[in-house]
Amino acid sequence: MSPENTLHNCRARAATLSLLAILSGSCGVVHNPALDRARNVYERVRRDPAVAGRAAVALEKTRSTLEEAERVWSEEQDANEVEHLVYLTEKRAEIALATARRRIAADEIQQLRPQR
Amino acid sequence: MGTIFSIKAAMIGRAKTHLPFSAFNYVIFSAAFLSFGCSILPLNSERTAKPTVGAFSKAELSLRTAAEARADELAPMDLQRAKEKLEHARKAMAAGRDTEARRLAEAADVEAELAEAKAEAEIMRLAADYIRRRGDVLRQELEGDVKRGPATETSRGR
Repeated sequence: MSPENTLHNCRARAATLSLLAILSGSCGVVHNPALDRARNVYERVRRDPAVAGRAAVALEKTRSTLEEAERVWSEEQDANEVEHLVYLTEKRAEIALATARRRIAADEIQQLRPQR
Repeated sequence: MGTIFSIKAAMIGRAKTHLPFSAFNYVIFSAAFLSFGCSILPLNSERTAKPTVGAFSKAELSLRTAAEARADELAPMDLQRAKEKLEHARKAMAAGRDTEARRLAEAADVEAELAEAKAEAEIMRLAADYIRRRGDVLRQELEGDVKRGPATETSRGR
């Protein structure tokens, strides 16, 4: 093989490796504001003293929906699907709050009963 | 004959000289495109196509459960939103927009669950209010009886 051919091959390989680097770089995690919103909502509900211990199942469903949104964003980069999952996370957080309100009212009924 | 061979040899030689990518490059390119394509396309199609029917039946069940929990009376806005989303999901499904249909059905499901949770919380709150009010009335009556005491009994005796 002549030196020209060797040089040509080296350039082609360098171009290929650059393309690979660009492709792998484009697959990296990019910031998503909707996900931040969902994380904030989940954290706020999780730290709410009224919810703690009263809506564990609803809170767990909220967490798993948030995790699914994070997985879809990191693996598939599907912004529409992430937006949808963020919406579901917010609604599940609302369900956790409503469940906690129901439990608070039920506890109040239990406390009122002996007074009758 | 010798001429033909020499022409062939010359063509092969030219081809070898001017070929821009070697076998190594082709392997790398193929691997890159395969890994890129495989990591995105099948996952998307898996998410969109398979769970659509399940999402519809789940949403319908959640809507019925919410209605049984008196959500039409105690959380009407949330229940209405859930119904509308399920209706839109059916239309999207009929139009062949599977991904949109699945998302709308999932949204309808969670809205219906929220309507049910709000309705149940409201029922419990109303029950607590009722018991508290009755307790207050009973307490006032008892306190009134204690204050009136024997005098009332005497008047009753007369």
